[in-house]
Amino acid sequence: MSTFLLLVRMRVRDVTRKASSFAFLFGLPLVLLAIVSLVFMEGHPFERRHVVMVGEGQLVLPGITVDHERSERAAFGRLDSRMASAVLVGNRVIVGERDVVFGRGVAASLAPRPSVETRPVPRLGYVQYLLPGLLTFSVLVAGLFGVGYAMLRYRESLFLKKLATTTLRRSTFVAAQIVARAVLVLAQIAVLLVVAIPLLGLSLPLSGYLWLLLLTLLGILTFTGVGFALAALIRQEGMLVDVINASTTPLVLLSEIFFPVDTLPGFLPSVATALPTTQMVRMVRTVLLEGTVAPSAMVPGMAIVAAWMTVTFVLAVLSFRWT
Amino acid sequence: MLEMREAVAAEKLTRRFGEVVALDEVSFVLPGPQVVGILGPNGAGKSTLLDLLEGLDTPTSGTVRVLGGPVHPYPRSRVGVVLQRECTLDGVTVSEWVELFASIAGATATAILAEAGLEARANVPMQRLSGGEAQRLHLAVAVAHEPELLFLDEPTAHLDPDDKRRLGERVRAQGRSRTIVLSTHDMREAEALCDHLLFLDRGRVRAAGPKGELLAGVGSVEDAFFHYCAARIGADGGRS
Repeated sequence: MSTFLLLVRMRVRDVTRKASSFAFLFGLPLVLLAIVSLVFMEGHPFERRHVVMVGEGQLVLPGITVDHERSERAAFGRLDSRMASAVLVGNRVIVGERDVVFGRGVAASLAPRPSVETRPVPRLGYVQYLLPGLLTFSVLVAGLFGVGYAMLRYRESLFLKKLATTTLRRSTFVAAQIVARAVLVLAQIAVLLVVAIPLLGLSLPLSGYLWLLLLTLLGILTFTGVGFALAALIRQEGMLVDVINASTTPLVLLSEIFFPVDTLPGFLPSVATALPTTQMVRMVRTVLLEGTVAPSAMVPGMAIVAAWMTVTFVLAVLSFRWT
Repeated sequence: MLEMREAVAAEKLTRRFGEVVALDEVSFVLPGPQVVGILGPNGAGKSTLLDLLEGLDTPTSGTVRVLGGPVHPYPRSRVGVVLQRECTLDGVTVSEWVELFASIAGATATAILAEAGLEARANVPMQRLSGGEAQRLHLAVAVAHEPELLFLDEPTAHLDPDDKRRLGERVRAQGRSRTIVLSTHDMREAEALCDHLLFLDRGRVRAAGPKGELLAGVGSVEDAFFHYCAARIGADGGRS
């Protein structure tokens, strides 16, 4: 077996041989899924009176936000995930069973008056909205904690110093750590999807799974770069954990995991849009809720995440030291 | 008999940590192949010096030469190292550890296990090895790529007398074909193992040379160490 694969195996086993690490890796996302499913099984905790209009056209409804989607599938994804209360397609207003009165009100405001149709909406619809956030959060934590903390531990245990006395190339070591983390995260996400997809009533074509694979790998490369850089810059375990916690919390709140960032005040929507986590969440949400995805729709988000990946990786390579 | 050549050399080597001067303009030439002992009490600067010679740290000033050449790039493929405190990763077995370092060194895991005498302990987690077993393992890993120069930082510091004796025999055997630079504060060990000595005290070289020359007219290594250190400290008025 090559040195690269031996390093990958060592890192993977480092996590899987410890019961606590194994439980944290595979159990935490499922626990979070269970919690948000219980908390939000009756819907999201704030009122959103949004109507999604399929296609072009002007529509003004007092007190109601009107959004546009290019396809019925995308619009129904918004309806199913409780991010919209009605969909307007041609001369039809489509609502969930709990929003019939709202749908009639919308229809009454329009001329000519459209018909009102109901559509079964998944009970855990809002959890559909949250699931992409859980997936992105797993990738984020894998990069920051899974690599940053592991590198610090490797340094404190003198493993890095020992490797520094050998002919092992830095690039081999760094690549092995990333691949090991990717293996673990992909397994973690696979377990989460196996539970979440039937639970939430989602359906995903093969292309959707391939998109998720691509997005996960992109996220891993981005966030492991940050993990390497943090471990190189911060030499104390306590401080590293504090910095990771301090960065993760605002990222979670600003990354459209729980609510759309366009509702945030001032400059915050611009900041949030520039974050790699926000773009990850949006792209994963598009894949999960719409199923089929046009590559062109993903280009802006992919470009932002790729830019972050380049920056964090250059930072990681420049800052990585054996000792 | 192998021809003696410059194995390691330092010129005006200084390492400061803030206000603390760990090494102060240290200069020496260590020829090899032979076993060289760097002797000094705790805090003398032995590990700092070895870190610099091993290319794991950068001097504040001065230069190091290893195997007759500069240390940038460091000739890793020709040098082996056993650290003072070796790494032990939780749960990693002896065979996993050996496989990794065999792969890096281009050696076979079975050869390293045989060299360490640990074939029967291959599936044991490293942290369950005794001190002697662990040091045999680290020594076998360090020489797996047949280095010309081997650094050992206090290799017997935490071993019982029996393990100390057995490891000493291995070091003597390894020292026949390569240069071994070992640091120790154990004078009797240095007397038994080393051909060449370098006395280090408070960051300065107090004496260096073949063991026979340094011990002539003095007696034991311990007597020689105190003789030279006391003489130099007396000569500079205890400033160093």
